[in-house]
Amino acid sequence: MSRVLRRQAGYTLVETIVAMTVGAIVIAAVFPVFLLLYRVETTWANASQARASGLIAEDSLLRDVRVYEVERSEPTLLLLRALGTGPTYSVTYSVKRWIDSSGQVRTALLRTVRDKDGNVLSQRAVAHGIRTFTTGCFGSTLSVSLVVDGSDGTPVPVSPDLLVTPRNLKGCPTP
Amino acid sequence: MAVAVVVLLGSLSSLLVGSRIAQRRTVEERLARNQIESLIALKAECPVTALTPIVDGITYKVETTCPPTQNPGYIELKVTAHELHDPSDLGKSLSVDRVQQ
Repeated sequence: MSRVLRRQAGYTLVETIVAMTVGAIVIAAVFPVFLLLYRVETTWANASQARASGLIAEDSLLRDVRVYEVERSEPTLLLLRALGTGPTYSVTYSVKRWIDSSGQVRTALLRTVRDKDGNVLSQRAVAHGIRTFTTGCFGSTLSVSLVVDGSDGTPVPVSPDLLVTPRNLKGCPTP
Repeated sequence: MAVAVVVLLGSLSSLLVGSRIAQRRTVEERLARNQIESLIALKAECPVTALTPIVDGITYKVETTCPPTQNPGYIELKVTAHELHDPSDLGKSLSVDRVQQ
């Protein structure tokens, strides 16, 4: 067979089978690595997204704690009181749970402003997907712990907990 | 195909490393901020003991230093948080100043 003809003959069946087998082995070896990396990436992206939601909640909370005094800190409720001697009002943070039209459980961190008689002046959700909101005021430090819903429904704690020094002159209020 | 696989794995790895670093920086910043809040609350003076909190299974080190100042009664506290065994000199630093009474 001349050189030109041999060059145009292509691959033999054996060469093709060997190439396909080697390719399949390589893919079989690489695929679990890809799958592992993809799973880890999905988990971290989920956690990262949840943390961002937690940070939004903390942002509003931080602003209020810097301005108002802590009046009461319970595990699931934080009550802040405006300073001054004039007409005063309070700000409350708490988690609200409800079931939406598709039957899914939804949660949000609510910020409620009330006047001195307890009438609600304003209520809005500062962040959605907040599963638990735990506060504790000890000594001169208010600690806030948030657990946020990940996009796949797993709870993601926002760590480390947020520590803030309240404006109260004598530190945390005594229960 | 091999090139495609290498590119795919390479980009996924970069994504993972990037998100890991971003997460650590966030934790470091929060630790530094928490330490500053504690210092304000406790009205602490230098030197301040270093802390080694563990967050998400990773040990961090939170150090507080006080660079010397010329003005008596005025101190500046610099809080640095970094991963305990991080060989690089990266990490997050925040500082707060106060007038001692």
